[in-house]
Amino acid sequence: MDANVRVPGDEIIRLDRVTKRFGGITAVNDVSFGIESGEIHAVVGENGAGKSTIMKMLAGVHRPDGGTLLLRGQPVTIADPLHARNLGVSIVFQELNLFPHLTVAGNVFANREATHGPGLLDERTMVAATRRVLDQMGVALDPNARVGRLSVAEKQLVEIARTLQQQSDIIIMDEPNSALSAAETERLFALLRRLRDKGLTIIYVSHRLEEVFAIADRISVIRDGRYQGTWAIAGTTIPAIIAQMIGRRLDEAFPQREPVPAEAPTAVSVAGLRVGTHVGPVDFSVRAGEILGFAGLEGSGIGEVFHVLFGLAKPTDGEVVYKGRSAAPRSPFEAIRQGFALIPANRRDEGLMTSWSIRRNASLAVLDKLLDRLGMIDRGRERGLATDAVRKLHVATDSIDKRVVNLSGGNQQKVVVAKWLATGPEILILNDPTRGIDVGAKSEIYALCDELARQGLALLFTSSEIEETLGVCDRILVFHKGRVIREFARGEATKADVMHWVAGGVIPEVEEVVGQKGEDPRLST
Amino acid sequence: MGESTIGIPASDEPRRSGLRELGRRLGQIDEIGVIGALVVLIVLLAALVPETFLTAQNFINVSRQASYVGIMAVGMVFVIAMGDIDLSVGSIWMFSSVLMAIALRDGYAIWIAVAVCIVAATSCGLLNGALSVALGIPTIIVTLGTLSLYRGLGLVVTEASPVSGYGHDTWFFAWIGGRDPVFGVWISVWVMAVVAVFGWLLFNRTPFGRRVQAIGSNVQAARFSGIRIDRTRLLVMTLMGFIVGIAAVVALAFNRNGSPTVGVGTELSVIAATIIGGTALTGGSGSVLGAVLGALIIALIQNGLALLAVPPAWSVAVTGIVIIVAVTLDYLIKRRQ
Repeated sequence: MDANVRVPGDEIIRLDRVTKRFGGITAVNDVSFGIESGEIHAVVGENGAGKSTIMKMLAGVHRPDGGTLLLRGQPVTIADPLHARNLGVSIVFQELNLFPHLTVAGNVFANREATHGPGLLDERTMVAATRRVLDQMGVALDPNARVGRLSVAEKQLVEIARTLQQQSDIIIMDEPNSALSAAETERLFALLRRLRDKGLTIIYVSHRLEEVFAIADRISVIRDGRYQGTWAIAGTTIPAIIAQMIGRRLDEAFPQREPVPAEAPTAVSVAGLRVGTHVGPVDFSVRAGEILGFAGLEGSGIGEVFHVLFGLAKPTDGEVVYKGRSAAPRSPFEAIRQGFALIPANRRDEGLMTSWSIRRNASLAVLDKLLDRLGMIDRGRERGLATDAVRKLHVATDSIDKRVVNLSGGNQQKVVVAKWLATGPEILILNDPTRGIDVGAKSEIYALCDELARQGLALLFTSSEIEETLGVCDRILVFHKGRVIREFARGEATKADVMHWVAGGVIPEVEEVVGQKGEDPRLST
Repeated sequence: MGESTIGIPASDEPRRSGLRELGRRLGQIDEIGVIGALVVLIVLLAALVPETFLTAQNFINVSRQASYVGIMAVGMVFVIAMGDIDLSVGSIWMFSSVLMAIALRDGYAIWIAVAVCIVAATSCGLLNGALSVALGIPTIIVTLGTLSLYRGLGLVVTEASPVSGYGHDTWFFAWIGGRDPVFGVWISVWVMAVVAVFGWLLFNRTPFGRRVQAIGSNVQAARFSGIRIDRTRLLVMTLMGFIVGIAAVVALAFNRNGSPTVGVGTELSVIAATIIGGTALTGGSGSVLGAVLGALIIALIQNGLALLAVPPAWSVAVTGIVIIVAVTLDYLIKRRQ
């Protein structure tokens, strides 16, 4: 590709009055803007704003109904994803499109396998080429490793390696970091910056403004299918972008919290809890009306502790004291009966029957409470339950019989919340409840947490965004390698403090200091 | 809530023609594929062989031929909707009915023989479920094994020859194996209707049925929702066995003697009826009514081909084609929504 000869700043992509309709809905409405070569360009907007549709048009998945796409100044009609790839445009989707049973090299060369002789696979060439690309990326991955065994972050690197091997000079990252830890995100960003500096153009689609501001050079905002504008990151602020995204200024995203009264009873406490060989001992207690926050990286043990409380995992040692009894629930069935509820981390796999209606999802955990005299599900009460939930939680839908697969991420998550609130829990565990949902729905979740705590529920909350845990919770436990290493009261810590302890209480090693290790005072002692 | 107003605001909506509206409404019926196939089949046979096909006697016979598979298909809806499969139903049928025949031959009272049959079939189903749950093996593997196990046991106890040597002049054979005095319909068809009604209620209106579908839809989310997966799987496999027991009793009442060859390949007919009826092989939803209609379709094809004097071997092949057509039809209609 001729990426090197172009001067940075040339417009490599331009959308000219592009429109896309699905049925009666206009997903993208008369959008015009340009992306310069050699920049990291963020495209942000709420769920359903149309940003993914724009990306899919660029990647050849959808075709515009009106307007023109210009690539390197030339109008193009992108026929399909393969054509897009031949034009140098590759997309890394949020749901990674990898073959788990194939190796890294097998994935990088999927459908473009190198062959020799009468069509036999040339494994050696493919492995060597893959190794070359991975080396260029500065990634220590084995080309022969099976992709199914890799972490999400590593899989993402495989996707990027694939686009590089295909000589793409425009890479679209669709919600790239919704499953990455802070350290993994930082590594990804370092890679993206390096690729940009080599002249590649990166379009970065995300909800997470903190990270967009950390990585992007410029940012474009889409709201309700319309283009709102493009700003240089240096010349704008997160609140200004949020205001553009939601059309109003979000003065107070996080609710004010009153201190939990000292006389509030302990709702549940955990003592000497161990899970498996890597988690524990963990001790903590949470009071009725309190929101207890958990901060930590993926694998720090928070998920395991939550699973023990909800009966999904067995503790290897220690006890859970609840209502004066020492009893960890042995199954989710038991946990629900005892008053626990868990909003799981993975909405689609663990939270919902996506092909089911809102009504059937909302009632699933409380079917036994909806019976008529004959032991049948009382459909009137079931409808009432779903209708109430849709109204109270502001689920945007025209019918409780709509399938949840047709709802936006934020509305899907509200259905999960509805399902669990219907059980009338005393202890509500929220495992990253705002993952992949839009700003408006996020602040509704925050407000709901506050309201539920005021009603006397005990909440256990964790989020992959530390600001959220800081903004929502009364107290924060920092987990590192399976243990609580620090506790903060509300307002006591900044994001940087929590980050520091999340990383183990030492200064996290960043890529830039590699090579200067000799000068590191910690090593010279 | 208005099911007819889902989606687009009324103001933007172009006026639908009456025919399209009818088509859309028909498309919302879960069993539309199987009903369509049934209508086509009946019209076709009525046109080809009107004088033999369009008689009350013929329909009465076809419905009896459909009834055994139809009864078992009701149970299979639960199994498949849960994302499982039971390949052993034909063998359970054979094993439980020869045990019943042996009980009769050895002079036990009829109600004891019936109990032996039902208990044996239910136990077979329970064992299928227990093996699957205890060993963590998919039911398709477990029942692939018990398919041979149960039939083998049946061959052992019968020494591979028919069981007879008991009188057929009891009320059981006259009544259960006969026809009702009012409509002249075989009792086995009425049994199928009763099983279908109970099955429909259980599947569509009870928490149990809902949970079965939840497991088939997303087993992980079902677990997170507090559904006891193992218990439900055990219950469904046991229910399947129990329903096979009912089919075995009514079939023996008609056939009179215990045959060690009964039920060979029946599992495929039962699964086919269930799939034709619109139950997705991937689990998550199902239709009891569809499964019964699916059994009727299979019986109608065999009946029609016999009336057309087509060699019986061909009817097997044609059944296969009809399965493909019905499932494709169902898929195409549902995809359009």
